[in-house]
Amino acid sequence: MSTLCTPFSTPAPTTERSLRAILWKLVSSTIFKLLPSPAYKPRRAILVAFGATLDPTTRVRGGVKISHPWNLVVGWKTAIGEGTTIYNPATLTIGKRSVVSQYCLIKCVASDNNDPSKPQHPSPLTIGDDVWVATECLALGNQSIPNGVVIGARSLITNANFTPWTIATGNPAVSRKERHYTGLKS
Amino acid sequence: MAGFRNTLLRLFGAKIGKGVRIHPSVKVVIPWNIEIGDGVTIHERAILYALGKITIGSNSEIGPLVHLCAGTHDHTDPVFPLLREPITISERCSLGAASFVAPGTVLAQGTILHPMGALYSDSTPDTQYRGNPAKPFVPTTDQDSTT
Repeated sequence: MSTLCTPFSTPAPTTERSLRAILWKLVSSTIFKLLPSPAYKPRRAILVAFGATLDPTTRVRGGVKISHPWNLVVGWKTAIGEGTTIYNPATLTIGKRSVVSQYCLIKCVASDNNDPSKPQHPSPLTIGDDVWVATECLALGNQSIPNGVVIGARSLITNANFTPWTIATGNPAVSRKERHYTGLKS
Repeated sequence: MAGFRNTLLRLFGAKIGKGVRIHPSVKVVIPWNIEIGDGVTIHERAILYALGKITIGSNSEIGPLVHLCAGTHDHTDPVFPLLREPITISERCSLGAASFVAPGTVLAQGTILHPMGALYSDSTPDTQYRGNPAKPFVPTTDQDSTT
C-alpha cells in the first residue's frame, strides 16, 4: 500500500476499498449525520459495521465526522465529543478512559516540508489512557500522546513531546505543570 | 429577524437587553444561562457554550467563530465531574474572530482580544490581548492598532 495521499497523486484504490468508501460517504452523510446525539448504540453499530474497533462502552457523540472508520481504534469508556472532526487515512488509536472534547480537529497526517510534491502523507496518531484533549484542539499525526496528559482548550498538538501526567497548553502545546490526579495512575 | 430571535431566546429564559443583534448561525447551548446587555452584537457561528452563566456587558462585540466555553471538568478526579464556571464579559469588550474564552474568566471593561486569541486568565481594563495563551500587548505601529 502506498503511503501517498495528495490531491494530485492519490493511489488507485482497490474495488473493495472504493466500494466501502463510497458506501461510507453515503451512510455518513445521511443516517450517521441525522442520528441524535444520545443515540450511542446505533452510531457505534454503524461504525463497527464499517470496520472500526470500538469498545462497547465507547461513547461517540452526535455531529462527529469520521473520514475512515476502518482506521479507528477506541478503548474502554472513552468519549468523543460533539462536532469533532476526525480525518484518519492512517490509524487513530485512543486508549482507555480518555476524552476528546467537542469541536476538536484530529488529522492523522504529517507534513514533509522537504518534499513539495507530497506536502502531506497519512501518519498514525496514538492517544494514551486517561488523556483529556480539551475543546477545539488540533492534533496532527506522526506522534503519540502519553498517558494522563491534559491538553488545554485551543491547543495545537504537533511534534508532541509531553511528559506523562502533565497539563499542556499553548500553540504549540508544551507540558507546563504537573497534573494532580487522585485516582490510580495507569 | 433579530428581534424575533431575541424573543425566542427570552422565551427560553435568556435575559437580553435592547438593540441586541444575534446572528442566526450562533449556537446557544443553554439559553437560560445567558445574560446580554444593551447594544451587543454576536456575529456568525459564535458558540455560547453556556453550561455555566455567561454574562455579556453593554456595547460589547463578539466576533465570528468565537467560542465562549463555560464548562469544564475536574481533571484531578477520576470521575471527571462537570464544573459549570461562569464567564463574565464587561462593557465595551471586543472579541476578535475565532477567539476563545476559557471557563471562569472575567473580562474587564474595554478588553480587546485579538483574532484567534485564547484567553485563560482574567483581563485588566482597556488592555489588548493576543496569542495562545493570550498575553497583554501594546500596539506600537499603525497596523498593530487596527483590530
